[in-house]
Amino acid sequence: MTTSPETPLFLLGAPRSGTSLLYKALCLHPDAAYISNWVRRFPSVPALAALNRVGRRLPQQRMRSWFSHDSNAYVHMGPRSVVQRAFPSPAEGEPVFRRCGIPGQPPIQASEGQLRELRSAFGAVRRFGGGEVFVNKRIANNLRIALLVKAFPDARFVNLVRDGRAVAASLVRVDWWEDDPVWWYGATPREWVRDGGDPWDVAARHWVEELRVVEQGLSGVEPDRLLEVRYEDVVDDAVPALREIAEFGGLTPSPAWEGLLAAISIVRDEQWRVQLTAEQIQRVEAIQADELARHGYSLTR
Amino acid sequence: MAAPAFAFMIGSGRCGSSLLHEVLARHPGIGFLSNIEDNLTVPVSAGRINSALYRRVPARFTQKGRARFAPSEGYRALDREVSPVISAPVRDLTAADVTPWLADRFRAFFAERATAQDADVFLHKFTGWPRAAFIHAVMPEARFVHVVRDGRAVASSLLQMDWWKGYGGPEAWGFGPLPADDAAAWEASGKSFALLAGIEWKLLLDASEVAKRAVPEKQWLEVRYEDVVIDPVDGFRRILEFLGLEWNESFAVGFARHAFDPAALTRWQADLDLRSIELLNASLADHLARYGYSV
Repeated sequence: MTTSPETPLFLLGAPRSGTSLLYKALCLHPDAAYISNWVRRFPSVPALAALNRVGRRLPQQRMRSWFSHDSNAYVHMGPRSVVQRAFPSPAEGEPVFRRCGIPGQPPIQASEGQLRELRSAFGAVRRFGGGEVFVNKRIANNLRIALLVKAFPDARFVNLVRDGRAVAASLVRVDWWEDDPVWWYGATPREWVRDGGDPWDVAARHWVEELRVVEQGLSGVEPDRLLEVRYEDVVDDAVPALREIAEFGGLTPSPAWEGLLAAISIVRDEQWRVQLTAEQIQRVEAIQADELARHGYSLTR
Repeated sequence: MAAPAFAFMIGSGRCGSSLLHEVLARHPGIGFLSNIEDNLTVPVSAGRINSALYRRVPARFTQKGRARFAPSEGYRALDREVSPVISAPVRDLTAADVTPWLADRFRAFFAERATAQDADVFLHKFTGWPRAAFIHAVMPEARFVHVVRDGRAVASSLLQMDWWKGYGGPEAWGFGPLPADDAAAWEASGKSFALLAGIEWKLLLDASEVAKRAVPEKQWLEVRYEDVVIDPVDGFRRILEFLGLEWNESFAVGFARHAFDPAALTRWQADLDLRSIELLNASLADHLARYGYSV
């Protein structure tokens, strides 16, 4: 499989599947290029990606800004200093897609000109920010895989799958979930509950729907450009697992990078087993049973 | 505040122990003797800044052969404050060499520095004779990280050092008379310096095996340099775990300053001539096999 500077690496997976952790871990690599919080804020100024170079020169500050004390890569909820918020960090960067005219919700369509814009935007980030491989994680990418393949025929995809029960338990806890429109429902989880639905049902089903839409999108991707990884396998032995993902993405092995990874205490989170009541677990499993089994997760009963 | 722990990294010399020591010294929990303290008579309290300063020094300013700041084996300081018996003994030091005055000076040398530096672990490196049995008798709690490298690579590297005394023959090399078998092989080889360098590695490895028997198993860690260079994260994680230290963010940043080059592990094959390699293979075969090196 060839690697060229125009071969981006896209990280896919349901929200709360560890995609942020994977994204940041890969962006620690000296050869990784990424959309930063600065470019997300000012998508018309890709030169701001040059700040990514500053981040590389301040490795300790970078670690502190990107990861919380418990090594949670989703740091937005916790208290963060102005310096930490301003520090160049990997961002999902939907404004960059939007500026190129790429939709984040169905119907997903784009003209050749818009795809060219996207290629140009990614290229500019890579040029200003430095790095060989453009890495991107954006949950909305789950819905636009075909479009990404059209824009980047050589792109590689990592599909990160996490136990759906852990995903559901995590979704109901994050601040954005209740009021974030759910693409397959057409409204928010809050409205789902207002309409008489159970909050665990919508969270459980969201995992299933995300898995299905990713699988559907990836059906058009050549097998050697696709890597499916279980989140639990990554956390159980993080450095080798991340090394394999990096190599798949075209990032050359780097002991210095692996040293940084080793400082992130990535631990398996199975709190759903104690946080959810037996009834809630049954509810979630009833919806997710087929997909859980298909991905090697055993049911509690 | 918990009492500092003491650890000694030992190895034959030219075995990669300097790289390992320098990388480990990047850990904020590790205290060490610096080359400044070795070369100048400075108060023990001056070492207080060692760790903080060293963690900010780029790797290129720690390299030997130039003005640098780095951990040191500290033989000059040991000569001044303890005794020359520590720095250049003609044989390995054992428990039988412990006298009250020597034990007091040796212990104080490290304890005062560890306290001044507020170190969780004070790590010192010795090359040549392991001295581990002596150290264990003086500091029974001390741990040992024994670094082993392919004897042929060590021999090749020794031959290239300006300080190696082997060119003066076994009478001058500082490790005492050769064992009868090795003396015969050395004569039969036409006094091959490569072979003599290999014999030095073998003697020191034998000494470390004897010393190891004096130290409780849990206080001794054997590390192959090649394994660390091939998978540095795994290698250093094992060492840190042995020392009771975490692989934290600060260490990770320091670790990233160093380069590990697996390609350099086989450089000895190009640096040595075929005959030297054959002599070394024949003489070191058992020892090489014992440590997992193929001939």
